[in-house]
Formats: sequence, structure tokens, C-alpha cells
Amino acid sequence: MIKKQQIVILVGIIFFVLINNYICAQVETIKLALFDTPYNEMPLNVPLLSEYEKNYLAGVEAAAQVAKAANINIVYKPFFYGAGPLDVLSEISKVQEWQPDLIIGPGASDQFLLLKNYIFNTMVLSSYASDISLTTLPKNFYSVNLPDVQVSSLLSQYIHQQYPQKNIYVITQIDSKECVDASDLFINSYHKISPATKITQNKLILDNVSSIDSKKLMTGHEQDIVVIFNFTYYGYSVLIRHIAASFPKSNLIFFSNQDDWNDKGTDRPRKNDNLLYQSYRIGPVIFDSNDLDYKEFENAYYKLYHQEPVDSVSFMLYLTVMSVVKALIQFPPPETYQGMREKILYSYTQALKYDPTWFRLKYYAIYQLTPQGEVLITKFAV
Amino acid sequence: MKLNKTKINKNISINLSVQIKKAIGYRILICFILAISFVFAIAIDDIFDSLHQLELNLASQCANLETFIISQVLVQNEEAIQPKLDELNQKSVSIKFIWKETASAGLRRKLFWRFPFSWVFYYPITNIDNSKLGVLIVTGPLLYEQGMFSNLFTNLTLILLLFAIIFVVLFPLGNRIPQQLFIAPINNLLFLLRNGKSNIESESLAIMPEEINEIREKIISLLKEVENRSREAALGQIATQVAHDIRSPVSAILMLSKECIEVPENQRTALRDAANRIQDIANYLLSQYGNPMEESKEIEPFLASTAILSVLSEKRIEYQKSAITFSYSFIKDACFAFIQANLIEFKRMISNIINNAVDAIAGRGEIIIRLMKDETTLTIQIIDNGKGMAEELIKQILNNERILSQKASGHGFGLTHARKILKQYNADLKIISTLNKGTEINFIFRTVPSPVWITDSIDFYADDCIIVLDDDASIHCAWDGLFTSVVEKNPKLKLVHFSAADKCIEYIKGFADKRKMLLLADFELIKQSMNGLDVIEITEIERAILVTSHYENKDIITRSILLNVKLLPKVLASDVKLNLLQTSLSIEENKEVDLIVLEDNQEFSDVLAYLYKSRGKNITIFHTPYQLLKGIKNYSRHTKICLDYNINCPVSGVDLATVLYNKGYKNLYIATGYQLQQVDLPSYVILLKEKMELLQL
Repeated sequence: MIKKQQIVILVGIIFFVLINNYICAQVETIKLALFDTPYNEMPLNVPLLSEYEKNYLAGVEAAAQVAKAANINIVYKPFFYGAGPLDVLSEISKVQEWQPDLIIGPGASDQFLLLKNYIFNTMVLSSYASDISLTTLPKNFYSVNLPDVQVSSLLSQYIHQQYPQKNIYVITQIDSKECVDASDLFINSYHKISPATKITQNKLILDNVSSIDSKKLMTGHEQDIVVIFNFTYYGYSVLIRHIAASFPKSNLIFFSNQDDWNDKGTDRPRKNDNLLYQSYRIGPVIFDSNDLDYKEFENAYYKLYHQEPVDSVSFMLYLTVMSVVKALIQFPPPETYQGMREKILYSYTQALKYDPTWFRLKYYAIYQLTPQGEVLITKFAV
Repeated sequence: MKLNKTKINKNISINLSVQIKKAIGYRILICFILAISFVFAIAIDDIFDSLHQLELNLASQCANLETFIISQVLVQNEEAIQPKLDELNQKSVSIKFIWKETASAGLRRKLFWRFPFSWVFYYPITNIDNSKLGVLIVTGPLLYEQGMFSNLFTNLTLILLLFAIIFVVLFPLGNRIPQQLFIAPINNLLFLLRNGKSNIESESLAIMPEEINEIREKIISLLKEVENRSREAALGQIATQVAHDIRSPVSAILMLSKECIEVPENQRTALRDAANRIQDIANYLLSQYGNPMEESKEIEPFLASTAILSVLSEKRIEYQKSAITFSYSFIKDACFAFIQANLIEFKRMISNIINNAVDAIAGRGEIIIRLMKDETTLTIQIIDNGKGMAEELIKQILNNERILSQKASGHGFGLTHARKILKQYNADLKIISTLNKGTEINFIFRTVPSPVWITDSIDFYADDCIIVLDDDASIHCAWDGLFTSVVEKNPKLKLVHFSAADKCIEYIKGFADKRKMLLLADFELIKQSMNGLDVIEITEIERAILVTSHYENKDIITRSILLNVKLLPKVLASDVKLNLLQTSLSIEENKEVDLIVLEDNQEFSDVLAYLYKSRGKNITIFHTPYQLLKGIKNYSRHTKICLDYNINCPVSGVDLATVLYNKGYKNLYIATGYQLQQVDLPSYVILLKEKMELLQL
């Protein structure tokens, strides 16, 4: 004889199991491969590299936290490769072996471009790639960063506005296609705005800044606006200080199109230093408390780490991951799509159709380097 | 060819310095060449190692460049390649990249030497899809990276420095060190040899090697010895001359002593002995300084007693004016004891020791010579009551050490000489001495058997007629004295004396039974036409003893043996044993045997007898000529007689064969191990080459 009480418990258990299975069936998992390298951004300094990785992953964690609310479970695995220009290729097989649903690829345009021959049918996103050649990539490649065409246009307009009488001296890191393309875009843009302005371009290998003869490099250009297109903001800082050291009385003016991934790793001059030069940078407005996405990120970050986010790379990664989550939510794939990879491809394609600048930042600004840090000078709506 | 080479080598004298320089210098040169070769090999190895390292470094750098180029190609940014190369070209190397695919066809990664001081490195670059992109051509100087070759230079420098130090250290081996260690000392030694004096300063001697110093001292010592020898040679010349000069006068003395019948025989004997000693001294001088062949070094058995008495007689005359008395005491058995040595040396030794004793006495004193005998040894004691010898000196003499003071006691040199001589004859020296009381020198010789021709006894029968033939009246008295008691006990025994040989012969010939006669004949019969042996031969007396002072004379001995006569030294006549034979003489019958053998070796004789008798034949073996000559008369004239050639006597088997042949024995054989030929023998003697052949007789 089964007691009445026992029957109630048994029915309860069965009900609980069925409900749980139903709930679990609604949660979808995204296998996210983080396929990038910290070496492109940072000097070979272990604490800084670790900090970069930590902040990089913090952004992903924050996005995963937010995605849970939408029943999307993000499982990620870093595939960080070395500093060599072809190291990215050696890591591809490992990424493919893991069979990710989504790849957040290299921030460097050159390396991002290399993946086009190896990765098919998987959405590959970049947080920072901006080269004009990105438009030639297949549809499964997309960068949430603003393309160099637009950045160069904004930069050339600003410089011309501020220094209409000055000649332009462009220093380009020749072994970076992104830099070469960006500098070309800038020169073209500037010519369109001011065809009379004398623009000189000097393409250099900037591997060893200390070996560069600054006097020779700057001969005849001490009064020009020096626009430097190089690979990293760290490298830019080292270069301008090296050049400025040879011209302590010239008050050289430097511009850069570099993204800045944080406040700590750029080796800026100490706050009490008296700068012997002017340095300006055009970059996205990241820490914008008016931006809804940023607010959402800030909350998620705070819940996870109980502190305010400080590094832009966290937000850029958050933004990149959330671009997928939002696409899945906003443009859900038909039920016939069983695999997450196909679902993402479908949703993201739909999102880009809906908004070709899907999840790209809406505001850029000119930042000036001062002894107290960077100061936002002018803000542009893109 | 070898001879010619030797001649050439003898003709070409090469300076020692040059030889040392050549021998050592060449070796140093070879070592240096080997060292240079070693350095060269290391250098080559290091160069290859450095080039290999360079190749690896270049490959590594080109690998980075390859990555760069491929990456730039992949992102279609080829324009960055040349600036990158230009940046690298700012250094000492030149890097070119040739795009053409064909340029890299067949090329492989390899470093080549470009004559004379540069290299070129080819590094083909392949795209990730295995398509040929081109080739990197890197050229540079050999001293491209100093660090790379610094090890080479460091190694080479260190090794060269090391070899330079070794060379600097070894170089003096070729000249200065040999000069200092060998050539200079040897030149000095040569100078010393040529000039007899050293050209080295005393300070230099201290630093001269010990061995060279020893040689130098030895040379100095030898030079001094040569000087002494030269002096001695000069002295020797004089001595030799003296020896030759005194020989004739001494011979004259000897001859005159025979003629001086007025002089009693004992004095004549002493005179003759003294003359003989002078002759010996002359001979000694000749042996020491003259022709070594002139002195006989023959070692032979001799009577020690007579030799000592001879020396003693001489010493008595020599020191007759001194207050030293000489006496002797010989135990009877010792009188006829024989020892084996060189007679002249022995006499000289005794003479020296007596001279030493005289020196030790210095004033009045006594020298006694004693002879004692036991079964195997004869001890000669020379005792003086002189100043004695220090214990240390005795020790020095007996240990054959250098005697520092010879004159102190008077004994030093003589004893040292004596010790040396005694050692030659396996004799011992014993010295007992007390300071200020006297010295007793003992010479202990091993006795040897008496020669068969010497007798120490006179065998006679109770009814014998003993005939004494001597030209010295005192001798007759002496014989009378000796035989008095015997004659008293044996009334039939007669003692007959003759001074003249002819009367003696007449008496003997007229005697009815010669077998009952015993002749004691002197050899030397002054102013008579014959000697004692002549009398014996003429009378054919069977039993005779030659009583003579010439018992050492080889001719007399030989003739005596062949006449079956033994010798009694006259000086020992008073000590001779008289043996009265109990058995009377009987006529022996003729004996018949197959073979008679004369063989002195007893063991061989026994074996021979056994073997011969085992063949069913009779043999008689005699061991001495006396036995043979006494016994032969009982055997048939046809009996085969085999004589040993060497019978340990002054006479040989051949001499005896002649005697036997004259007696009528015709079957005579000589057996010997000597290399004799039949032609060397008389025709009546047959030679048996092997002794064992006589078994066939």
C-alpha cells in the first residue's frame, strides 16, 4: 500500500525533473574561441601582458554574465598566440579542432586579414581591426571598430581645422599593412580637404626606435604636423619621445590614430613631466556613461569585480561578444537551424543587413596628452 | 760498406756542442712544427665551427626575415620588405631578396666562402602554400661578427702564447743549458786531461754537477796515478837494470859456493839460499817492473817448512849484526806439510813479515817462527816482541781498509800485501797483538797432499845395509846420530858412509844382495865427476833416496822419478820418520795379466778395472810412477801397458814409456784426453784417442 503522502512526493519529483528539463532545454550555449594575442599591443613585459589578458577576459566574462539573462551560456577558451607575424596561422588548427561557434579574432588588421583563407562558416569578429581591406573579407568577418576610412577622414578634418597653415609630415610603419593603408587614406582625405597642403610621407621600419636618427628623420619637418601611423600606441609613445628628445625647443606636434586599450600600459610620461611636444590621438569615446551599452557593461563588470572598469579593452571585448548575443536575440534564426554556429551566422548577417555599423561605437574624440593624462579635446559623432 | 762508413765516421769529428744543438734543436723544431700544426688544426676546426655557428645564426635571422616576408606577402604589403632589408643592410652585411621563383630553384640553405674575405649565404623562401617566393642572399665579411670569431682568436692567441712560453722555456735546451751542464764541464775535463790542470775557478766548482765533479776528481786522481806510475816506471827501469846487472854476479856466487869446499855445507847452503833469494829478488824486480814473463807465477805445492827455513837463513844473515834473535819451532808433522802457492810470492811474504817484525822490535828482541799442523791446515806463526799493533790498525788490515799510518807499527804494508796474497790462495790471516808486548801473525793455509816424489820417511829392514853418500862430513855425523838408537836395537843393520861417488859405486857393485841395500845419496858431490843420481843410475840400486837441498829442482825431480827414487829435503833430514819394515824381502814371482794401466785418478781406475774384468780379463792398475816402476819387473815383457799421458807429475806417460821400452817392454800405449797426435809420440808407443779404447786391449 502506497501511502498518499508518498504519492505526492513522487509526483513532485517528476514534476520538478520535467520543469528543470524544460528550462535547460531553453538555454543555448555558445562556444567562443578567443583567438588573439596581447603582443601586438604590449611591450614584452610580463606584468603588463598579464594585465592585458586579465582585462581582455574580464570583458568576455561581463558579456557572458549579461548573456545568461538571455539564456545564452557562453563557454569561451583563449587561443592566444605569439608575437611573430605568422604565429596566428600556427594556432588556427587548434581553434578549428575545438570547433567553436564563434571566434573573436585578432585585433590587428593584418592578422585578421590572414584568417580569410582558413576559417569558413564561422562568424569571426574583431574588436579593433579597421583596415580598409576588411571590406574585401567574406561575410563571416566583421569588426566592431570604426573603419580607418572614417577615422582618417575625421582626423584630417580636425588637423586641417586646427593647423590649416601647417604642412603635414606622415610617418608610416611600413611593415604594417594597416598602417600603410591608414596613412594612405589619411593623405588622400587630407588632399581632398586641402590640396595645397604639402604632405610628406616617410615609410619606415620602426622595429628599433632607438636606432632611428631623429634629426635626419625630422629634417625640414620640425614645423610640420607629424602624423604617425604605427602599429601600437606604446610604440607611438616611445617614438615621439625619442624624436622630441632631439628637439627640446621645437614644440613638435604629433598626431596618432591609435586605439588606446587602457590607462596603464601606454608608458606615458609621468604626470609631473613637462612635455616638450604636443601629442594628440583620435579614438573612440569608450567610457561614456550616457551610452546604454556601456552602462550595461559597467553594471555587469561591477557585479563581477566590484569595481569600475578601467580598461577599454574590457569594454571592446564586451561589446564584441554582446553584438552576437544581441543579434541572436534581435534576429533569432529559424527553428530549422540546429547548430549554434549556423544560428550566429544567420542572426549576425541579419543584424548587419539591418545595421551595417552593427555595434560600432557612435562617438570618436581627439585626446591630448597632458602631464595629467589624456584630455578629451573634441568629440565627433560618427 | 760498413767498414767504410766506420772509417768515414772516424774521420769526421763532430763537435759535441753541434751534436747537442742538432739533437735537441731538431727535436724542439719538430715539437714546434707539431705545435704549429696543432694550432693550425685547432684554428681550422675553430674556423669551421665559427662558420657553422655563423650559418646557424644567419639561418635563424633569415628565418625571422622569412616569416616577415611571408606575412607581408600574405597581407599584400610587399613594399615593406625592401625597407626591412635596407634597415638590415645598414649593418656590415648585405641582404638581397630575389623574387623570381626560378632564382631559388635548386638552391638550398648553404653558406659559401667567397674569396678572399667574404661569404655568401643563400636562404630560399617558400610560402606557406609551398610556392617559391624567392631567395634571400646574404653576403658579409669573414669578420662579420667579432664575437663569433673572438673565441677563435682567443683560443689561437692563448695557444700561441702558451707555445711561445714553452718555446722560450725550451729554447735554452738547444744551447745554453747543454753549454752550462755538459759542454763547459766536458771542455773543462778535456782541458784538464790535455794540460793536467783545471781552468775552473773555485766558485764555479760549487755549482758544477755532482757527477761531473766526481769525474773531474777521478781524472785528477788518475792523472796523479799516471804521474806516480811514470815515476814508478822510471824507477822500474832502474830496478830492471839492477836486476839484470845483479843476475850475473849472483850466478857467479852460486857457482863459487859450489867450489868453496872449505866452507862447511850448512854455510854453503845458506850462502846458496841467500844467492837464490837475491836471484828471486832480481826476478821479482823484473816481474814488477820488467817483462812480466820473466817471473814464474806458477802455483805449485811446496814444502812450507823448507821455504820458511830458507827465508829465515837469509834473515839471520841480513840481520846478523842486529840484536834480534831468530828461532823456529816446527812440529814434526808440519815439517813435511805441503801447501799450494807461488813459492816466490810466499817467500817474499814471509820475508816482508819478518822485516816488519824487525821494524816493530826496533832494538833488542826475538822473532820466533812456528809451524803447526792439524788434519787440513798448516799454521805459520811469526811472533815478535816488538811494539805491537793498535786494534784499529788490525781492524783496518783485516777489513782491507786504507791504512792511514803505516810506519807507526812497522806492520801495515807487509800485512796488507800478505792479506792480498793469502786471499789468492784461500788462506787466512789472523793477527793477535798487544801494544808494547808484541805481535803474533798467523797464516793459515790449507795443506795439500805431498807430491809422490817427496818422502817424509825412510823405510828399511832390520838387516839392511844403509849407505850414506855425501861429501859433507857433518851430514854423516847427523845420519849416525839419527840411526844410533835404531842400530843399537837392530845389530844386523849396517850404516856405511861414503864421501866419494866412485868408492860408493864400487861398494855397491861388490855387495852380494842389492835388494838389502838402501842408498841415501846427496845430489851435489863437490868436485866429483858425478852426482848422487848418477851413482843410483850406474849402480842400478833398487832402493835409494836422494837427500838433497835441490828438492825443488824440476830436472832433478824428473830424473829421480824416472829412476824410481824419492827425494828427501836435506834440511828436513833430521825430522824424517824411520820405518823399520817387519817383512823380509822375498823374491816375487812373475805375474800374468792382460793389461797394466798407469792412471792417477782413483775413481776412474775403479770403473776401468770393473769394466775390464767384466770382459773376463785381468788388469793391474798402478796409480803412481813409483808403483809402476817398482812393480813392473814382476810382469812379462809382452804385457800390454797403457799409460795415462798426464799423471800429475813432472814426468809424462811418454817419459815413463821410454823408460819401460828401455827395460824391454814393447806393448806400450798412451791414453789421453789431450789433443795428441801419433806423430808426436815415439814410434814404440801407440796412441789411444779415448781412454775407454783401452777396454779393447
